[in-house]
Amino acid sequence: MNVLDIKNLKILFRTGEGFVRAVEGVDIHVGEGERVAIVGESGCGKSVTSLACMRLLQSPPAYYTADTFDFVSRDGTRHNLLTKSENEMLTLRAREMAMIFQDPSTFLNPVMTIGEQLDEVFIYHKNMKPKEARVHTIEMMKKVGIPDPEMRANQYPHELSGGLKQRILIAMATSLSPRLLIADEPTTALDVTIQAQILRLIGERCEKEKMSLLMITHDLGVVREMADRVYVMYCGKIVEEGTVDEILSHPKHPYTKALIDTVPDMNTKTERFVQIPHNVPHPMNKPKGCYFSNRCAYCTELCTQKQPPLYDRGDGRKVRCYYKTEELWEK
Amino acid sequence: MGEIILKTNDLTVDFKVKKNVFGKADRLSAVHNANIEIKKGEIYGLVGESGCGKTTLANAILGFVPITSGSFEAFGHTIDAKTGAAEWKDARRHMQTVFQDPYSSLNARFTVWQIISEPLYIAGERDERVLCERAAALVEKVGLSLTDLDRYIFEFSGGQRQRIAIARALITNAELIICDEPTSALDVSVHSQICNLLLDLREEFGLTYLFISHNLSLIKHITDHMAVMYLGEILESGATDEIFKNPQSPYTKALMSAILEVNPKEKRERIILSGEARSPINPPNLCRFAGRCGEACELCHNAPLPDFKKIGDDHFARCHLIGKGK
Repeated sequence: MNVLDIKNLKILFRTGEGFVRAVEGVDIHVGEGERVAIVGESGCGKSVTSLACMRLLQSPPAYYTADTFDFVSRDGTRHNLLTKSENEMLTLRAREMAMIFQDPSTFLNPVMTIGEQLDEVFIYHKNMKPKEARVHTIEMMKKVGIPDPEMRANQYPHELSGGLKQRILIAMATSLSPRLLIADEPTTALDVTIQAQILRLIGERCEKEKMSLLMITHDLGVVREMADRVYVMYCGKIVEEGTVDEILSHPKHPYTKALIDTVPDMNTKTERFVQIPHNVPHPMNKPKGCYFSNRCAYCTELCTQKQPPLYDRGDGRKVRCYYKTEELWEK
Repeated sequence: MGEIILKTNDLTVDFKVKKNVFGKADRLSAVHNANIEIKKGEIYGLVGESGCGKTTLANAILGFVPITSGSFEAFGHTIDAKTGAAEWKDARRHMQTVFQDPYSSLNARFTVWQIISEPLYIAGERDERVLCERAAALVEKVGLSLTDLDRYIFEFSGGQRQRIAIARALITNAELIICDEPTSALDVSVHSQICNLLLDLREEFGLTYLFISHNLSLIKHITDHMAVMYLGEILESGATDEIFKNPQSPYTKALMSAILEVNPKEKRERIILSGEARSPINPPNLCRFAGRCGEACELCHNAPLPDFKKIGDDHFARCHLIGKGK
């Protein structure tokens, strides 16, 4: 059974200079206990998609529509996230779905101690008394591996390092063991050695609390480490979908291929780096036809005229490209 | 290659951190006895986590922060804590820098040609014809067009801004370009564009780079020599190939095992360091990595960090455990 079921999600932003389509008809589903990653460069709509799942986009300026936008909670109830009132969403968030963000310092309140901020989760959602909540808070801080939690609980966010702050956010997000954890670039702001710690912690928490994970990242190495299934997004559309092994070892879309090639291989020494020409098109100025056509090495006449459909092989492998799709089906 | 253009001798940078109005000032040791040697035409990598002092080392060489002790030799000048402004200026003429974040390192009120030609203006060139001509010559070298020269930088993407910053660094014909994480603020697909551009420019102008990064896979591919820093201390240095083939310091090993590969050839056992870097304030005279090191022995916690040991022809590391059969 799917925890998250999104069909044909479209997100439109009203800006001063016109309307911008940030997400153009995206289908995403996350199964129970599954770890799904959305990969793409900045501006491809991956963060907006994840924020929409939590209904954290203010509307206006964001407008979203979808054919299906369902979240299934632990008791099996189907919640249509589009029609939920803000109050109903408040009860869903944290209890059933929670989110970790890229930059932990902007999501912690600088004038409240770490302990108070973690207590709030229990006070608000479990109607606990502050003292009782603090016991759970300390317990939770131990679970995410914070040394000396009693002392840390009385500190303010600025006294903690980036890695510790991210652990606090993970504690906050997972303290009510939600069904779905959304992680939006959780390690981008951290050092490599801390990144390894945090990724391991997220993996452990998901396993222990039987959470599904929706991970947003631009780092293919993180994808290989964390995910079971991958969506590759480009300019608001999904261009490729499949299991991690399929996508990273046998990419079919030229964009996915190029992304993988730009990461230099550790086993050989290259003289030059593989580069993708040009930049990601501006969302108000996307090319006609396939959005990747102006950067694509295999671009044909057809690509510049008509948007390719998302070809489905039938086993969860999908590619949005005209180029040699026949080969794809034959494997 | 061969001629050494920059050499630091026990370069040390400390900052004074005041505790309170009455308190004694604490000493934050940002760079401690750093020795690096950069040869003409090479790319020298400086790796380490944030806060390890790699940027401070570069800033000390550029004169952005004062040197506490030690010195460095560059372009026929020896510069230490007492060097006067005139000599500084003369040495710095040969060095330029490209900063990490092109969104904050370029003046939003200047047009592109003004940004690019500003170093030349500061160096004493006041003729606008010359300034424009030089800016125009460079802007095409970095892959932008002449029509971009009269625009403001809000019109450019991150990659294009970094190209402008590179053009600015080149305009004074500097020989040593210090690149402080030039790609980490950029999108993945733009990374390679900027790296290739830097490689092309090195070829064309015979440049030397000091390349600061925390991205080890980038360092591996781009640099000839490298140094690994941890909390102000250089722990391992030498030829990049040798260090990657045979890392000696436990910290270097941990850094390398933290690299996440897209298509790993084999499943490796990851070394995950516990805890985080200790505070660089008033550090004891011991190995600064000992607290996080999985292999640390009694000696590491009690004896001062040993001197560099020669591992290979062009490979040095300092650690108590080297040669102890571990």
